[in-house]
Amino acid sequence: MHVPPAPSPADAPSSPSRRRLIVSASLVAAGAALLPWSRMAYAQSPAQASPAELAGFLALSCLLTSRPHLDAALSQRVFVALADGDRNFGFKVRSLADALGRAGITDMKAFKDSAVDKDPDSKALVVLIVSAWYHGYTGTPKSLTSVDDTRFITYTEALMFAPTRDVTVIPTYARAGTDYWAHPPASIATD
Amino acid sequence: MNPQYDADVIVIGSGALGSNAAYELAKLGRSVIMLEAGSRIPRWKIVENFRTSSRKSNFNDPYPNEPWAHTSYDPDYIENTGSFNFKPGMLKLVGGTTWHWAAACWRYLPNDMKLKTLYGVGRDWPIEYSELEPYYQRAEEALGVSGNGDEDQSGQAGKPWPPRSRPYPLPPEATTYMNQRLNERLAKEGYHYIHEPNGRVTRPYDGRPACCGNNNCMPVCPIGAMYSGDMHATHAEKAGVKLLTESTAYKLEKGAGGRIVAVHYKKPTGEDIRITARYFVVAAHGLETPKLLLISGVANSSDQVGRNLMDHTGIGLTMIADEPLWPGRGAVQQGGIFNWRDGDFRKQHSAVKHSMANAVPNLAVTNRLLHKGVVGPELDERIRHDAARWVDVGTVFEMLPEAGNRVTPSDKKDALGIPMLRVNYDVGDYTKAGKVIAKQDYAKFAKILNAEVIEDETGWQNRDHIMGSVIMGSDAKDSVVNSECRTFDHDNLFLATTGVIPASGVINPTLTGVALSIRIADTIHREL
Ligand SMILES: Cc1cc2nc3c(=O)[nH]c(=O)nc-3n(C[C@H](O)[C@H](O)[C@H](O)COP(=O)(O)OP(=O)(O)OC[C@H]3O[C@@H](n4cnc5c(N)ncnc54)[C@H](O)[C@@H]3O)c2cc1C
Ligand code: SF4
Repeated sequence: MHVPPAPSPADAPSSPSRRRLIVSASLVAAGAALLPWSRMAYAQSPAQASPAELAGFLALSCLLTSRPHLDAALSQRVFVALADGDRNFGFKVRSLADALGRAGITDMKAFKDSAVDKDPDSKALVVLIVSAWYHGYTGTPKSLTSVDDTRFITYTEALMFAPTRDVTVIPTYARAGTDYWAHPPASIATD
Repeated sequence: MNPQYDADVIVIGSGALGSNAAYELAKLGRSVIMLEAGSRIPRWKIVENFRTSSRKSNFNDPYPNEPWAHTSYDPDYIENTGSFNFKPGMLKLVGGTTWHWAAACWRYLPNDMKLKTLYGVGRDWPIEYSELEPYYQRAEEALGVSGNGDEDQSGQAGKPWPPRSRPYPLPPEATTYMNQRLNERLAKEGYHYIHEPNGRVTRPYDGRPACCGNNNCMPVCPIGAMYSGDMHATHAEKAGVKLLTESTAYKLEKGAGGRIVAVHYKKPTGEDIRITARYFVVAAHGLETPKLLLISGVANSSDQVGRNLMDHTGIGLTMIADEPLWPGRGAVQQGGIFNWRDGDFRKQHSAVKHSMANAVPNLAVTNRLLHKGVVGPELDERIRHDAARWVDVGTVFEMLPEAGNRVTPSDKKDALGIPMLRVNYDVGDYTKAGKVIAKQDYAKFAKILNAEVIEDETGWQNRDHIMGSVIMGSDAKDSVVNSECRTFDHDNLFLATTGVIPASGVINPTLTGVALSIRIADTIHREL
């Protein structure tokens, strides 16, 4: 289990703009890491994925999610979950990395309306990978049944919580004491 | 204990209703055995199961789903034959389904209990509100209800209503910033926002810590601030009740003079056991209770067992408002709009309740954005923007009892060889007429909040409130139990379930069920 980061004391306002600057700078490095991997031979099954392939997937994930760092163990879980049941997954991932390289995309700011964005298969794969990281699971949950194709990746590290981390909670964790909710968050004026 | 019997009273089911009945009887010195189909699981394990679940919106998922004690979402457990997929959340473990309820603890209004007399539709309760009032108070004290006794909960902006003999045991929690804003804007247009009395304690109470807004009431409160039935299962045991887990009752045995003499139960190990008592209380949930009666061939001279099944079948509205409101701070729900709770309109259409959800909306928000293909830096910006403005309205409707809406044993059997459930359920015209009114409100809400409507045609939705299935009435010919929750056919068989409720209103039924269960305990104690 991941121990969740301690909540910020009293709704400290975030500074998204500064955070994003740091992200962009480090992504240049992440993008560079894609290149050797995109020329690599690809494993037949997720269980056989080589360390280099997994490193490549991690770098690709960093690029697609605009994150300077992602957890390598989680990245492997995402890779294995998505590759399970799709023998071509590794190949598709490599093609996507190639396409991003050809389009010169080293930062997701350059993704919108790019050739990769406009190619439906590539776009679908981008959304699939980003979804796993943001949701913290793969597959599609079905309501009112105990059976579906979802696979758990992570809870507290699911990226969907990051943008609201300073205001709400990751459910089951607390942020402040009873009745803190009577007051608007500190960021309200700029939200 | 009388040596002729295994216990004075056998209670079947350790949910909130069974456990409260058992506890009251034990406190009065009675010997009680409580049978529970499921296992006992500590809270921390359920919390960890939730955190590692890939189905966070599936509230049954963190709980055990055993071949001999299914949750209601097991694909084989409920077979539907009607137009609606009736699948209420339901759990089988010590404490029952209130492990993942939202702890809304409303009382019915006096008028809710006279639906037929006042509005000419449905059925009346065979008792008046005033008879139930002292038991409501005891139930609120048992569950630790936080509430605002100064509001007109009938939604008409009148005097405090319904009447109460004593204040709520605990003061209400602070109104969330979101609800303060919604109140302000909706009130101008005549909508009455009412605080929801709830079983989340606002200060330490009965060994429970105060709610601190972990926002996970459904499917499990990590700190036990919210009431759940396991609390009284434990109280009952401490008071001397013998709780037998993994023990599924499958037969109530009839004896001389129409009395029930024994209950037969099975264990996953294959053991098959018969135990006896002077009184029997079936508290096995609103679907399992009628099933047990039907497979036992008891209590059904009226042919009403399993019929008149009602949920507060509902619809929903999701919007993005024009200002940051920040749902997700505090508990998962806190109140709603009650303009259509009571009035002469009930002659024409069902009552309507709208509640504003306060769950952290990130999953729904993110899912929608990804479906739209939003990726890149825009994704984080939009998550924050939309999550701040997400307004999720859950609407419920009053239902009328209809004989064709029905639960029966299915042909499919569980691992113990006991039949599972078949449900036939259609939504009636009275409720459909209420939906027209609700949709008019939806349009107004969207206008007032200057909102982008994300979804306002959800189709009918389950609301997990089981009523009518062992209906209460004054006539043995058309009802299963009398006003005491005693079966007409068997003097010593009582049903502690929300399934006895004959007129659904629009409020969550469990507090009423607990009040009736405490009353059952008093009645049995007097007779023993
Ligand atoms: C998501 C959700 C939210 C809800 N929110 C609210 C709310 O806010 N307010 C409200 O009032 N209500 C709410 N409800 C409804 C509430 O959960 C039920 O009304 C309540 O649990 C009923 O209690 P019970 O004791 O009758 O049944 P249960 O809690 O279901 O307990 C029945 C017990 O009996 C056991 N059992 C069943 N059959 C047998 C057998 N044959 N032998 C032995 N044991 C058996 C079961 O294993 C179970 O433990 C909600 C429900 C859901 C699913
Ligand atoms: S908001 Fe959190 S602490 Fe409060 S009752 Fe719900 S889950 Fe428990």
